[in-house]
Amino acid sequence: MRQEKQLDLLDTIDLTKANEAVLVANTPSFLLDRLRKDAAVDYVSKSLKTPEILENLLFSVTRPINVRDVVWGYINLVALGMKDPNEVWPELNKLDLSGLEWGNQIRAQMKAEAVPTSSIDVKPRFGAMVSPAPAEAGNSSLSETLQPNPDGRTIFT
Amino acid sequence: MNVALAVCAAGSAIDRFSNRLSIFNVIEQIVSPSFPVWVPEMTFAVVLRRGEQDPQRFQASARVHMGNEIINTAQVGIDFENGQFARQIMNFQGLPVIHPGELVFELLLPNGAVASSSIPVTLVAPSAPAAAPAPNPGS
Amino acid sequence: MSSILSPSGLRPDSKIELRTRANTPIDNLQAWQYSSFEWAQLGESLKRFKEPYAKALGSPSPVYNCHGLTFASRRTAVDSSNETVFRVLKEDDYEEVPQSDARPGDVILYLDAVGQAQHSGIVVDIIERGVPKVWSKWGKGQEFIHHFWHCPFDPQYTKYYRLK
Repeated sequence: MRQEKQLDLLDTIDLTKANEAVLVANTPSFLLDRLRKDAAVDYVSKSLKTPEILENLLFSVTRPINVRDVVWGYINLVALGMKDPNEVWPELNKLDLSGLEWGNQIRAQMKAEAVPTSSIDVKPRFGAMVSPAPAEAGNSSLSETLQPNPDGRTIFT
Repeated sequence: MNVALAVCAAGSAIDRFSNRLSIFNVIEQIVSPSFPVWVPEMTFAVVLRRGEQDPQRFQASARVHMGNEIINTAQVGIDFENGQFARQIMNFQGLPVIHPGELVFELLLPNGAVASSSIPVTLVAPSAPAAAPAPNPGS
Repeated sequence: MSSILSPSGLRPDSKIELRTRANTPIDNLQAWQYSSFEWAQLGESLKRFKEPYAKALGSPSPVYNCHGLTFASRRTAVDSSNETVFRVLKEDDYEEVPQSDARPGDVILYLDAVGQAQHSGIVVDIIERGVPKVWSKWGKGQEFIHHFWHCPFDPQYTKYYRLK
């Protein structure tokens, strides 16, 4: 990402909470937990493409000049966790994050917690039944039922 | 490959910060005073744990049945993305349950393992109406 | 004390010899990089922690952390893993006490929802309604004297320890 664009972005993002998280953290898990919920991380993950975030991170870990570079590095690292894992991990795995005190540990935790989830909606199969009654699932019993009538329409009883 | 979790519930959600899975309103049984019944929504959530020799990606068959009656089926793709765990969430948008019995949700895995959850479906007899009060002899 | 500076002019990180009572080495790190002044620039939002519930002491310092204050007299940042923290507590002969019995000198440990130790401090007072007042170092930031619940660390799961 060009330096001017990065500076523009830094001017628009409120880093107060992210700064505090980096300052007071005693553990990488605390820092990761705080930054995941941080508006600055959310903004970066939504505003920038994965290659741009990776570039920011690389710059921060190889040339951290001051503590603000450190904060920016962590923000970009955690923001990567919100991007497409197929795009992120092949590149993120290659980076040496030792320039950030907890860079490698945070990456390891993010990777361990990145359990892939696949979700599908399954529509009912037609012809299974006509106008059935709704059930109450769980421990409570049904209080109302829909009963099929001879015409195939449903009525409440 | 191990099944870490297989459960039926009313719904599920993934925390967008921590990526943790939450399950809402676990369904232990279905009771109804009459049949057939229509369960409008049910989620079958499965978490798989991969061993070193297990495949990263594969297709699996899911089915819902009561005895020999197949109520619904689905084909799902599982991808561990180089990790140890993978989740498969199946949201059934309407399940007809024709009679009491065992409603079984299964995800058939390549090594022959099956992730399954079995829910008893019970007919509950309606309570008898309260006896009418005896007429007042003075009226 | 002299040390060889890195090519960028920074004093390199170091560690000291630190052991438990059972003579087990305690992993630690003295991070000299970035000055107290620089770290202080990150603490604008900490001004919300103020009297009567919290009072900031001194200046930020990256050289020691909360466990470095609690267990190592501010000499270094003690490794914050559960393995180290609980080994120190065990081998230095601490025993857990209930919060209702806490007294000045006890160690307070803040845990997160999955049992990871996130912070430690020393109880300095018990104020009204049995609320412990704690002295602790907030990461690389300042030391604070604060009500145990008035800090950036989740006070929901705390444990108290006392030397036997």
